[in-house]
Amino acid sequence: MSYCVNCGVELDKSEPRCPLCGAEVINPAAMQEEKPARPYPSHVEHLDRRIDRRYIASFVSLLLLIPLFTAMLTNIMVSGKLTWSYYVLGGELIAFAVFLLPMIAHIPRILYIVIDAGAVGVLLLLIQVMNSGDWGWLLLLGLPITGLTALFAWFVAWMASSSCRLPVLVRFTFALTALGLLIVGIEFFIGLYQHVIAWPQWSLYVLFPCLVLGSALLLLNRRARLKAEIRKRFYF
Amino acid sequence: MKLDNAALIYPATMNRNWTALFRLSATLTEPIDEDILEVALKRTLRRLPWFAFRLKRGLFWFYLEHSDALPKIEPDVGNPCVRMRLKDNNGFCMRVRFYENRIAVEFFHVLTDGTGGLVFLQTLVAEYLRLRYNAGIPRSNRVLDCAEPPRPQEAEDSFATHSGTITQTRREVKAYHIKGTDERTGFVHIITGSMDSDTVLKKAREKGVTVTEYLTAVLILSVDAIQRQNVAHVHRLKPVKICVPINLRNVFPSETLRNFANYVNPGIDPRLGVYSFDETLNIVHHFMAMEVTEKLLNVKITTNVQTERNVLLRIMPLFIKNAAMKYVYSQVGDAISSTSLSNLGVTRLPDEMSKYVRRMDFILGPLADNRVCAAALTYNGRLRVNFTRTIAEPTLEREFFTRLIKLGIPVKIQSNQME
Repeated sequence: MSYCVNCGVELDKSEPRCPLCGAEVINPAAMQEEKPARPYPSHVEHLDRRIDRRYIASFVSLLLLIPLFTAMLTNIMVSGKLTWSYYVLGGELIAFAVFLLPMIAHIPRILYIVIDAGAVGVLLLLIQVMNSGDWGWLLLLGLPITGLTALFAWFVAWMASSSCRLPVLVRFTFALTALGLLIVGIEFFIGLYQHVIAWPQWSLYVLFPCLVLGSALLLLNRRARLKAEIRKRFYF
Repeated sequence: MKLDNAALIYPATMNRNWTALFRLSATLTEPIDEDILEVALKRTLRRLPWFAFRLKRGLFWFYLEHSDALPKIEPDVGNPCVRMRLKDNNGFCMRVRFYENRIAVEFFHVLTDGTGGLVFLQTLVAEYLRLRYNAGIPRSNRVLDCAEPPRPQEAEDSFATHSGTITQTRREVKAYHIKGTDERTGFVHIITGSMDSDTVLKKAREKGVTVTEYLTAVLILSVDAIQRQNVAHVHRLKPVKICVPINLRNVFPSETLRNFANYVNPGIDPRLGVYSFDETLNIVHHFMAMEVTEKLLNVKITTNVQTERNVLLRIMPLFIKNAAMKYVYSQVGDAISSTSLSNLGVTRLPDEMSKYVRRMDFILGPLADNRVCAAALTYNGRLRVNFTRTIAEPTLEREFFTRLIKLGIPVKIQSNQME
């Protein structure tokens, strides 16, 4: 009969150490005794490991080739050359870069955003080539907005990451400001495309609420008690 | 067969790594003979066919379908109550496991509750003993006679029979949850604390409460102590509540062997100050007296049954319904209690049977959100409290059992820790 010196509970003879505190059982009187069988077998049933996303993603990537080839074949058979099936190619490229690539390979955040922006750029380029209009549309409107959005996505992702040491409310302020600036930027590039460089107009309707909300959050950040209250309410 | 009202939530909330399980086991005097056990199981399932049911997926609801095959009998494992994969289990919602002298049955909660499971286990063990030792065991409504045909009232959905018209909200304040380090491999820790039942009963009687209330009060204070260690600010303390299942067969006349239980959540609000043991006992005792009444339990049953009868919910396809039920469960399931303490009470077996049965245990499977839970059963003068835990740290068990020792109740500990 052994007791745990730490917890005071009596321990079953089969216990090598106290299950409650981990203290080893040393009973000088029972050194020579043979230990009885453990109450449960040593064989443990393991839970499934995570679903093999990488395998599934690679499989789906291969499946994506089927509609692509079908589209290309149909295109060639009907019009004799590759035309509209380039859109399918661009679309699938984006789907692959956005959804499947992160499952197949572990890529850093910045590279992921660059690749996604690149995929969108390729689609826009294909559209431009297909329509053979003036290149201003791509260079002044499509690519700049894509780049700006990618920059915004990177900034928000950085704000949301755990490596960002700022208080949560300040991060929201920055993210909101970035959103406002993104909209202003979009309006600027639309203006550039139409050859009118003017003071921003409709985007201000987005920018100002963002700024006001952001400053409100900054003020809130300075009130510790209110912050604690909010944290309690938004507890999840 | 339709699922009973309480069972509806379990298939909706189960996932790859979690099934709502509980386990009942009986330890005999000699090692188990697998072949005899199989014959005994076959005969028991003939008497209780609703345990040989497979869970199937319909368009609107899950349903149960009888199967003539036999659920698996397999060697026990070191982590009992680990999730049950229905596909691997031939679709059955129960499995029988044996290890040395012990027969254990693990039930998916969709089939039955603790009381129904206990009747099944007792019948199975009685049948085993009859075949093995030719023991003449008198049969009753607790140890069923396998020569008799099944009785339909044992499979009735008593929730539907006993529901009324008045409902109430299920919403309650969310409770504190014990946190700890995840066991990545899915290991389920079991710690059994065994006590002399007369000592506990005497202690409880001294305070004028039942054993369940006594243990619940100790558990509440244990969780409270853990929360105070981990949460620095008094305003951040959350209520400590223990989910105590109530056997409705004691309140409503019913012979069903399927689910017929509800629960109450006695607890304290630690923000108001430090509670003494007597205070906590008083709260638990009167809370139970108020809540465990025919009237209030009826309201609780009615709330659940009315939801099931809701036309909108009924015509929803199953996958949407599952998502909805998962959400509701995340709000009013484990969230409103800190842990569970299920006490099946005292089990008495006929003398012809008890001489072969040394020990009986009741273990709850891991809960969905609460990482530690407890189940108790008294047999042969020993009250055994089994803690089930899916985190690495045994803080609650240590707090609980050392508290009992300080209260003057000696505890003997056994566990499934690996050497």
